Amino acid sequence: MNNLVIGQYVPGDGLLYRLDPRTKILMTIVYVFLLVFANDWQSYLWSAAFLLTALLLTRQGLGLYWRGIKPILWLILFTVVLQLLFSGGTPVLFTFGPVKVTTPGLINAVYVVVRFVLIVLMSTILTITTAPTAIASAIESLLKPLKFFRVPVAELALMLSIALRFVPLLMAETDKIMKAQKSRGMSLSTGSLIKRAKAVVPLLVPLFVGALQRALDLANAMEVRGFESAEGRTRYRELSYGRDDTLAFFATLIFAIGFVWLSIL
Amino acid sequence: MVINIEGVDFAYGTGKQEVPVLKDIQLTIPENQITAIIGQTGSGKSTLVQQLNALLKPTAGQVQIGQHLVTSQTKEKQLTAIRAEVGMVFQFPEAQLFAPTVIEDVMYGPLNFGAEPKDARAAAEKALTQVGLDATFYDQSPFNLSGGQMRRVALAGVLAMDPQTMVFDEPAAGLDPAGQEELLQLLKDLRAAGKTIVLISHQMEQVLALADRVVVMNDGQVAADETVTALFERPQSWFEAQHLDLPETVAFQKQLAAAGFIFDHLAKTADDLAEQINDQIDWPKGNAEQKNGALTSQSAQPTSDKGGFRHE
Repeated sequence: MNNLVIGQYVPGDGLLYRLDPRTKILMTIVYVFLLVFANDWQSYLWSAAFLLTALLLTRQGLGLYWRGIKPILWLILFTVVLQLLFSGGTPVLFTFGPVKVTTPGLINAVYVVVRFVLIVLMSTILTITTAPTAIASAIESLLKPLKFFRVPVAELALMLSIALRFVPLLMAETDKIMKAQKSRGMSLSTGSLIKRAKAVVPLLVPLFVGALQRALDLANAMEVRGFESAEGRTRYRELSYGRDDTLAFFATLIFAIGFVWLSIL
Repeated sequence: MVINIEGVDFAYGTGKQEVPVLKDIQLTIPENQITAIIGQTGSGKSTLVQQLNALLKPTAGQVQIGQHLVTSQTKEKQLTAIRAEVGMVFQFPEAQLFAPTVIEDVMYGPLNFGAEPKDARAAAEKALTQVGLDATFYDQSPFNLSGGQMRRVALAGVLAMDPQTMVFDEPAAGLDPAGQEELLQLLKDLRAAGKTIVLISHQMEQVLALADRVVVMNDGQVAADETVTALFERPQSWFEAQHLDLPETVAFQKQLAAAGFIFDHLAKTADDLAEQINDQIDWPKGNAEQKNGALTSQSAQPTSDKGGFRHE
């Protein structure tokens, strides 16, 4: 449970840690958006190079990222199989009963995997280098224009930061309940599929009950301390846009121009 | 069934983020005794007891649980059998309740370990009786009960599995005094029924009243592993170094001993201490009868201590 890397913040001191969280979020969005349009190996290579640079700038071991990818390997494999089986075209490489594996299918499968891995890694970089509270306040700041349309941005941001704050708590809770039920003989890895699905109930029910209880406690705690509105709160860590952010901005710009150029070619 | 921990290291995480918690633990949990594990927060108590039913596998070394050997290489599937033999009651176990009715929740363990529904039901009813819940509770939702009742249901959930060894992680935390008293009695009853009990506790009074042996953990290592009498006969300075409190009676007895009183054994209860003090005081002649009365009641009380308690 503690090995889950996706969505986890890992303290460090690389260049990417010093960037304004807003910069990092925008960079990630631009990157993911562009990646959707990647359709040849050059653009994938270019994207991979950009990602690798970012990765090295976090100054975290590559093992950390490998552990981030590992849990979703099965999902990736599943997508590959789908791509292989259900994309038509010619030439047909080989047939296996009613199933035809074609060259475009194979190429597509490889692209999908690469895209998938790149997107996951980029978002992992974001969460690894940015504390959840920083992400929440960055989103609040980025959504500010929506206030014009009477969207309760501050409340939304508060909800988000509370939700993020609950993630590690719920993980710890899950771990605890899992151990308690394992001690009572729960086994998630034996029996038929239906039996396994049923085996999750003793895990989920206490988890939900606990989460609701926690939410109530938190609401009460906020109320007794006079919380009225999330509007106009001050913060301990102000967001500030610095020289490093300008650098990152230009790096992203160069990446985007290069990407478009490669795609047009 | 004896549990042997042999040269066990344990660390959370791997590589750069590795946090060593247990360091070269060498320990035997004796059969049919209550072994208390004490130590300050973060000393590795909870991690240690999770080795006892293989919820955590040692990073190095091995744990021999009855006939089962657990090392870092042991497969998950082999561990279920161990859990039928070693029951575990976590801190605030009421968080594990999930079933629509009390009886179903308590039957969950026995059913998982292959009991027939009829036998599981019988075991559950027996366990609920043991914790003092009668038939009117069987069909209630566990979530409608009071905190203390939920704790009992959770305890029954482990008792119903009828494990030979039971591990309790601060079972009395958050209970009212009467509830604590009943719980301690339950532990004694279990020992009398031939079970092996392991108990994590921060309450030294509890340890003194209940435990046969005490294991003191400090910074992931065993700082002491001896009988409860031997432990509390250590000087006060040792307890201070371990950041542990002394039970009030023991602290008082030590003060008196330092002031010149001579005791023949470590008092486990306030009554016992009072009688020993009574014994020391030069009563005026008119009170001789009272003194004798105190003496007889003391000699009638069995003292299981082998070590004795002699201070200069």
